[in-house]
Amino acid sequence: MQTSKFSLVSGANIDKQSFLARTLEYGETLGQIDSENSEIFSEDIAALAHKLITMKVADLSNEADLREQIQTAFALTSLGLEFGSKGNLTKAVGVLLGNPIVKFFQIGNTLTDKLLKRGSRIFEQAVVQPPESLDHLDLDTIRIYNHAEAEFLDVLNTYCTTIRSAQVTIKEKHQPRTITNLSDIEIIRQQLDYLEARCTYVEALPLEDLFSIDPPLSIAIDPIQTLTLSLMANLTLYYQPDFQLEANTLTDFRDIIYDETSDEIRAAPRQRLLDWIAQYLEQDNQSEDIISYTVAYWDSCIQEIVNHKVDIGIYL
Amino acid sequence: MSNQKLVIPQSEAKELLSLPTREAEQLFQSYEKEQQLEIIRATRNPKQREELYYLVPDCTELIQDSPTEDVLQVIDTLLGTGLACGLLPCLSNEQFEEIMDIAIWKDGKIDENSLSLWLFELSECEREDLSRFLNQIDMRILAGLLKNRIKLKGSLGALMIEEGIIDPNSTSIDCKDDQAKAILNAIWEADDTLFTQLLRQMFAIDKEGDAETELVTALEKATAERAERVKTRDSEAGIKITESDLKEHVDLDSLNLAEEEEGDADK
Repeated sequence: MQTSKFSLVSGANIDKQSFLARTLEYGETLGQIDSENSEIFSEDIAALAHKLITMKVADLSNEADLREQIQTAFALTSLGLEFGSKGNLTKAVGVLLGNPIVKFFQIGNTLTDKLLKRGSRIFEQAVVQPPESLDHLDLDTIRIYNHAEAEFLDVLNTYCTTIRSAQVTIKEKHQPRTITNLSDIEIIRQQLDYLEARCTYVEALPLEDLFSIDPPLSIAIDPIQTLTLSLMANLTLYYQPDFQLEANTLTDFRDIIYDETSDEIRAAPRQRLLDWIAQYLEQDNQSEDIISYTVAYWDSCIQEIVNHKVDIGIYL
Repeated sequence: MSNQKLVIPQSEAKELLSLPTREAEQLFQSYEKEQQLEIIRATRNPKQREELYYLVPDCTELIQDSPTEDVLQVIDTLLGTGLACGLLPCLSNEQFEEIMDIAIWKDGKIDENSLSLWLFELSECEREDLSRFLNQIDMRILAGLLKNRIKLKGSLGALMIEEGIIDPNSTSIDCKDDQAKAILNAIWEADDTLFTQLLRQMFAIDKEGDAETELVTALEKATAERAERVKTRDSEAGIKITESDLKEHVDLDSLNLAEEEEGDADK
């Protein structure tokens, strides 16, 4: 479908895979949406996108900014329609004919706005700040999220996502794409839950000496994974909940936790570690959700040390 | 019967842009104004659209008959370079006001960066044009932009404003940055009466309340008036959606959507 009336939106196409496009097509098949209706919908959504552009874009000659707003208008309207019809195409045709198109945009906007705000809050606040007593050292903060997660949070601001499923730690990321389906919303919500749970887990740890660790955690590729592996290694080797790694500790830890002959993680030391963190968080009165996420996170960290058996130095 | 030549706007634009300037001018000027506008409208690249405007000796009419957003898109490619002053004088007062209502507002609030950029660009125009445009910009908005960047020193400042005997070089005026100083200078050179009015607005001379409160109230009024103007223009263009509609949130737990049953659409 092509829109034409508003020059800034001319030539824009509604994604054929979107729920909105599928609803229009289904309505035509049913004979409920005729060419006149279809034309009206096109004009209305073009007007909506045009309005969004003039409201949001500072430089109208910036094609990328125009495209972004057009995508946002289409995507939020489609999401709103999918939510309002509970994903039922027959109902979607009915509600599309019964309500102004801006209503669906508002639903989509409400749905995504909460996520965007949560994402921004995590992006800004999911860091460990150095204590005031160390202000004079000008230390960097320690991020709770890794680079792939930072990118996920960053593009979320533009109604885009880089993931196709929620992951305990984002490792598999894709090119940013516009959020088009309610399933995307669910995945993003789950991912944000995970990131918030990680924050709570980190805050529950004894962080007093965190900024005296050498080398500083702030320079690690994934600071919390490094911190967790250090803690696990010290617990396994010295029975001490310490974050500072001595020479060879991580290598020795890997030798204990990983059986190279069978290429498997050894069940007993793995379970001891998972039980330790579960008990630690229980004693800290953390919720079941936080405990189960953290246990899964610890498990993924153990897996990581096996995956990177060749280059263990990346954690140091 | 019309003696207009039949043209396909997209391909015509392509040809015009590929021709040497003189030939392109001759060809473009051989069209009726409506055809010229159609060719310009069909050209979606703003830089190319700008080139087409220059194919006539005076593009004022073409600019004034083009959709405002299209003209703004062309000006946006030039903003900050000082080169937009070639096109800006072609704008009608109404068009300029419409452009300001889009360009210096983002999300329903004044975008100070854009306003500064526009004032810089305007300051490059002839003083006569600048004066005409400044009279189209809401004084309350200008005052809002400059309020934290210009301070009044000493006890004589207010009196000098009241008497209309102050200028940008007066020792009573303290500019926090060069750009604010340049803007004040340009306004003064373009229209000294406007300059005094601006200072009166900024420092709430003759007003009972304190300057800060007066300015906030004035800006709220300016915002409401701008929203009303935008709504009226949109309505004339067939746009029923307002900026407030786009910002409105709904209660997802109690959605009450009307549903048209099969067959209702035919009734």
